[in-house]
Amino acid sequence: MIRRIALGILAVGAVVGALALERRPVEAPVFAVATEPGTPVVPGGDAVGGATWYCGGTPALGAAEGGEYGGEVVVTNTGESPSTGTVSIFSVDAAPVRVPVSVEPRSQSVVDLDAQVTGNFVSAMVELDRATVSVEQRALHPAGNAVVPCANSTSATWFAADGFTAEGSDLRLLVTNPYLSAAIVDIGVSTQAGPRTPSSLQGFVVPPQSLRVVNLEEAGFRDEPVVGVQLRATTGRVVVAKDQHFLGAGRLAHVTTMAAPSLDSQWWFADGEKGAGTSESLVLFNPTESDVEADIMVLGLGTVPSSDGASQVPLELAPTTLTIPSEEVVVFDTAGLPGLPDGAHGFLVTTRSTASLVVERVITRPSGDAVATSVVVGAQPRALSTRWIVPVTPSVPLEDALVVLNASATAGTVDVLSIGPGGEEPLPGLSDVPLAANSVLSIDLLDAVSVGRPVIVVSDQPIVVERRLERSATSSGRGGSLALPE
Amino acid sequence: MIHRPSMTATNAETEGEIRTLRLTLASAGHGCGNAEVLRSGVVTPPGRWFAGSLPAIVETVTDVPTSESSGQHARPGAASLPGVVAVVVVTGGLVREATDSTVAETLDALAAQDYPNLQVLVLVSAPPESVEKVVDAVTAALASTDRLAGSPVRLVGDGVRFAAAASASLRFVEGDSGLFLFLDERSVLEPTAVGRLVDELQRSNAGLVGPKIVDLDDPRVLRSVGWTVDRIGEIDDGLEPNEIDQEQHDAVRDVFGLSEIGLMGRADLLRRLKGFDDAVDDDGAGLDLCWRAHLTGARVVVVPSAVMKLRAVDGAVSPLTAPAAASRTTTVLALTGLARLPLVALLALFSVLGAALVALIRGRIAKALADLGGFARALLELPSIVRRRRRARPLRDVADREVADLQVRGSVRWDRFRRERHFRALDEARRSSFGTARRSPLVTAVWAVALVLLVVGSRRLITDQVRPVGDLFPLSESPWDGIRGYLTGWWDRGLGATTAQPTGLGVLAAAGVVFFAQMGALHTFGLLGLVVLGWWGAFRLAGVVDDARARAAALVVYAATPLPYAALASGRGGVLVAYAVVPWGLHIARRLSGLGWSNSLEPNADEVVVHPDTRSRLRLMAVFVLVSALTASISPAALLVMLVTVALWASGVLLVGGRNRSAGLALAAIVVGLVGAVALNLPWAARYLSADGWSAAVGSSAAPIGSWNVFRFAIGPASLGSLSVLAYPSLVAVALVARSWRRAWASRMVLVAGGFLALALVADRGRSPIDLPEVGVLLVPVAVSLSIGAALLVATFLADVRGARLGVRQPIALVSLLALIGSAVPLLSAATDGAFGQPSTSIAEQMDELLGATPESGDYRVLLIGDPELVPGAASDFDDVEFTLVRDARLVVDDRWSNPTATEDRVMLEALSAVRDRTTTRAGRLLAPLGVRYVVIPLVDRVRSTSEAPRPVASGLVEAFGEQLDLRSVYSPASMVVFENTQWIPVGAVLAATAAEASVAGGAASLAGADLSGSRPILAGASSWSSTDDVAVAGTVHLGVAFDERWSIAIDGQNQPAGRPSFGSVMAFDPTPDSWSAETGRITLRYDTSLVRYGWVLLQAGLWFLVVCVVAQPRWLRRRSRVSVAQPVLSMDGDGS
Repeated sequence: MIRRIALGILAVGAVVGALALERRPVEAPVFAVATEPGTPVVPGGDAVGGATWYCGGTPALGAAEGGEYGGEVVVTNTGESPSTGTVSIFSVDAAPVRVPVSVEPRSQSVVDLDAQVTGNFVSAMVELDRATVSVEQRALHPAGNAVVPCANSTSATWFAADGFTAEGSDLRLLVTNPYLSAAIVDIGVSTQAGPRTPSSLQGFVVPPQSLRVVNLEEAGFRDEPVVGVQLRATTGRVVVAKDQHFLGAGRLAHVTTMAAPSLDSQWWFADGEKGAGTSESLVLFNPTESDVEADIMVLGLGTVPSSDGASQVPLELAPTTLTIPSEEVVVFDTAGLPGLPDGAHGFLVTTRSTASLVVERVITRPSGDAVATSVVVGAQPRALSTRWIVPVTPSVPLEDALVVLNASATAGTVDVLSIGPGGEEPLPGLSDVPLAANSVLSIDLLDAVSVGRPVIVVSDQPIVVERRLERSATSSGRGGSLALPE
Repeated sequence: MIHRPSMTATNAETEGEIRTLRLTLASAGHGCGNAEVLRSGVVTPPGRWFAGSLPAIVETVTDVPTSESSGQHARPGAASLPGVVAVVVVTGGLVREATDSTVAETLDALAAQDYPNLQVLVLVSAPPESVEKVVDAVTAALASTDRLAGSPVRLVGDGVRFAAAASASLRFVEGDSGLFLFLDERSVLEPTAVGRLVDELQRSNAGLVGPKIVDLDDPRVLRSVGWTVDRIGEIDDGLEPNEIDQEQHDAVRDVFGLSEIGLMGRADLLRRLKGFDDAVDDDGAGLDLCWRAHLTGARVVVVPSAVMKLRAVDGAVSPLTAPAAASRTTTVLALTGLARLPLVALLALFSVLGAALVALIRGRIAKALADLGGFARALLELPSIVRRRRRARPLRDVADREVADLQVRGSVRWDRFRRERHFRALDEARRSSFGTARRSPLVTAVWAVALVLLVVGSRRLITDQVRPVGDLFPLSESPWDGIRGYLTGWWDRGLGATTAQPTGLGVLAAAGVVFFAQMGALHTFGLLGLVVLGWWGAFRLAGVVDDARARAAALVVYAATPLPYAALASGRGGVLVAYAVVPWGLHIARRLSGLGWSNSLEPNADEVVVHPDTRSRLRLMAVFVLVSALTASISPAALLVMLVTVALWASGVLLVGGRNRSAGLALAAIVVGLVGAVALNLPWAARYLSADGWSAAVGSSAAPIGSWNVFRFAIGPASLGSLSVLAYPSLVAVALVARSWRRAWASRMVLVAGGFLALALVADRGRSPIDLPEVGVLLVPVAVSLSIGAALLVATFLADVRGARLGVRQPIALVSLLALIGSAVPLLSAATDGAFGQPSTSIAEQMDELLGATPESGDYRVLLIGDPELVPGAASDFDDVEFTLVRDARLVVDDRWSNPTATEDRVMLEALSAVRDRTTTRAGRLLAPLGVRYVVIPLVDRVRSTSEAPRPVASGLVEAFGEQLDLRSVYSPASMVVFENTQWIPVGAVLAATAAEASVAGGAASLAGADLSGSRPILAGASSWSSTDDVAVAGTVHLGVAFDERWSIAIDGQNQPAGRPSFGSVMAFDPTPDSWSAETGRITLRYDTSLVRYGWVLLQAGLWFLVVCVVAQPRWLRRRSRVSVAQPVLSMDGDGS
């Protein structure tokens, strides 16, 4: 009897005990941690397939009466081993053209795109067997060249905050599908009148391994001072760049920039300027379905004497809070910031919510008798790095060629190294350059060993590095672009 | 081994006429080594013959007890009568618990015969554990009668059958002028029987005579008055079931056959016939002997005035068993004249088929199977039949036509059937061939309903075949391909390798041969057969309750469990296998343990314990090994669960009301079963001894289903399955209210159910420290327990509740019984769909349709990757997902198993890691050398993941492959995402130039940078078992299989240099430039199978054959149990003639 009871207790106890066990939480299975595309970075390391870069697109008509409409891919190998790869050039109607490329250690190779394929625009995909190689594209245009890092990855979403078609300015979206399957995208446009989804831009098919150019003026967005664009691929993944030719309404220049593949809650800008004849604005685009509040913090304003005059204290401005309505673009003119002194500064735009913004900075600076406009997409937080590569540097000695923003609240130092055949060499006078907390540092690249050579900016604090490059040999003014974090 | 005990002084002084005996076996060479000499002993004079303390005997050394010296007392007038030697074959196994009394009764009856010239020879064939007891009983019985004192007793060893022992008596006895009378310890002759048999034999000039046999327990009931036989060997005893003897059969008459027990024959005739034929089973020995006697022209006569009572054994209703179908068929084929043989054989075949059909229609499945099996067995024994015909040839003194005239025209079976119809009511509870099954209209009806519901429920599966859902993959198209593939040693799974192949492949291929290569039918009926097999097993296991209603309840509850139908719907082959074998495993273990042989419904009766004899134990153990091995070959997880079930049950036996020996035997069965399963599945079984062997054995875990679903067995679609929980109260109620053995059994089953429920819950909650089989497999023992619980509840109701004083038992039992009825409803609902909820299409089918191979494109593979629940078959883990490589997009039965080589592991993990880590955008190139043409990510299989409730896709999976530049999206159904690898290289190909260069370089980085497209497919459909050729252009020949030196190529008949590793993973051949004529050539691919492989297969087949032989115990094995006789011990010429 006792045995029987014990046995019963044993059996029932086992079941009850099992029932009492806490259920292991069901975790969603993960194959690959989502590395959301964002500000391009040089991956480094030993990738099995090396690295693949996607260049958004450049003009490719070649030499013309007014100048050259062309494009180049600049492949920079900062590593110690040679690298080989293939440049696949995509165009609108032709099959992709593949060009082998090789680049020696610590050197650059340039592939002239319009020499391979002629067309209004071409885009490129560069596959390399080393992950230490970075790729940028240089768009050549009579109205000024534009250098921009190529993207690390494709994406199903792309956002562009700054669009501008006022007074005949051109705005083209260059949509590249490097894959073997067609991509289908929906393009939404936000103007001052609000968001629109033109039927002609819905279900827009981008054939495999091709480039499609969307002229937003022709799509019905003519003479719009504000054009925010969001592109979502319902099938496939694409690469999107903007080709902008500013022709008036305060802007002049030709600019090619990559759109942002993702939204974020922080956007960093190293370069900014307030001064006579200079206009600067931040263009904030909220493609989400909710309104977003964004704080604009001005960084690197330098120091001012303390109230007792005994010391220098950092100049700080109170953040400016803006409300960005859903699917709308807000253009914030920094000139309106009370207390903003003349001179260089940086920006940090943050939201109080999740990733929901894309922010671009537009600066129009005097350039001789005219002005020159540059447009830069900010750096996303994951791009903050202590080591930045500047593959394309000015081909002539330039002052303020690099602008470094200390993204931390801790002071640090900066070293600028030139990459040459002998490896990384410190530039004279550019070692251990002090960098105050949240400060902005302008660096001149005047030394011969820095001109036309890739340089590396290294700091002991996370930094953001922007470049001010000459627009062309014949164009005055500066273009702007982010360097590449490593 | 022979002992020669020295005679002690004490013995010599006290016993006087002491004769020294040598204790040894009279039999030899039959492998019964355990029946050796017991111990030395002495023979005492009459009256003091072993006081029970000295057992054995057996062969005298110095003084052979002939009739003169044996001490048997001849009666007056004996000299004028023929000598009769009554040969009594005593086996302890026949009447297990009552040997003493039965033997004494038999011998007393002989001693009481009024026939004066009668001698007795006792031959003992008993298992070693009971031989002492039997010999004690025999010697005591002989000693108790003056007349038989001193009769020789011979120990002929364990396992010697009645017929063999009886035949041996011809050599123990000298002389041809007397008569032999064959008896066993169940036989009790009327005092006048011998005399009347002798009288009639002389009067009729018969060769063989036999008595009227009646039931010992109820002498009014007739058991045999001779047999009539038709042309195809069907036997009719002319009796109704339990027919009362009213002297209606008391005329002396010629018959065709007589029972071998009680048969008397002329010594000269018997010596000419050489006694009973060793090749014939005991049950058919009498028929065979009589038939051969007819061949000599001898008469066979039944003498009803001579009466013999016969005792039934082991609770059998009738003491006599008619010859089994196999015995009859072989006898017909062996003894029918050559001229009539073809027609008779054809008639026999049609008769068997017709009888089986009728039996099926009548719900007598066991009989149908016995009929068919008997005929099949007869065919398998053709060599034996030929030898018997050869031996019968010199006996044919009369024309075969005359013998045929003695047989009944027409069909005895039909006559018997018509007669039985009138007496069906009386024909109750005849035992089946298995000993405990009682047929009743209720059982027949329940079986019929269950089978009809199964057929109705699976109507769409029967017409459209079972869908390849989950791991229910289609079998290979030809069993011969399977067998040849198994023989070669090359397993074309994954990248392929020379490796051990799953034994299951060989088993299924062999099954395909038995199914006449109808592999689709084998697939469908095999799976449905597993369900029926499970029912049958539960029904047999429920035989522990000796009541048809209880067994019917067990059958209903087990059949109503949603497990098998949900398993069919969701493609869980392991669950189906477990469902089929677990009740059988428990049943065999129970029989081995001797527990509950047939428990009485007497309220206070104890549990019956009948330990099987050595031979039966050996056979049961072999059956257990065979079941274990077969189970392991298909689903190791099911085997583990079966063994643990037996272990839990044995623990229950130890804890509650059992005997240690019983539990020990069951536990021994587990060890033997496991060892046997491993041995029979070698070398494949070594797979489960590797580092990941346990995981491979238990298989992938299933997604959690929740505690309620665990309780209600809802592992898949199971409409109204919640009602199955109503079966639980019956088990609990029995444990509470039952008495005696029913309570003990209930407690044991509660332990089994509780243990496995707990395991299932732990597995479902993901809290097990080790991998466990999927929940469905773990729930099968619970279902078995509930089934037995139902049987016990009925038994309890009948024995403990009904008619008892009103108390708490009645309401509990009544409510539980009512609940039990409700638990049967799911069986009805399962039958409505026609396919048990199987989806109308499956991922495997869609893959085949969408991506199916064409010969022009060459062979390729599909990388199937995704949720472990949705990736069919055995797959490899990769973080949270699983993947598998499928040849030509066609999932086949091979995909149930996996044993990836180190190369395959390395290459696949390298490629997938690169995709996961986004360190490549050229996964297509990394996978190209493996022939991976498609990457398929299953999303919805319509069973485990539906569009309404899809399983989450592993995050980043589709995106990561979508980012690959050399993969192209393929239009695909919503159930899957498909990418085509544009860089794929056919499994057999002539490489393009860039690919050929890359094949030498190797390494993932160089692979990712090379354009591999442009290779030309060759050798599509190549296999390891046949030489394949194709026309190819000159170039590097690529073979997308793991590097193996056994592969070779020849071009235009010219052997080429050995292959080399290629792409770091597969192999390639670089033919010599002069091999190609005009830039092309006929290329031949060969695989050289190792002799070692053939050796392994032979060894394995030998092991299987050995176990099957032990199970089947064919005659040619048993023939060794021949009794060796050194010299005669009796003479019938001395007194008799």
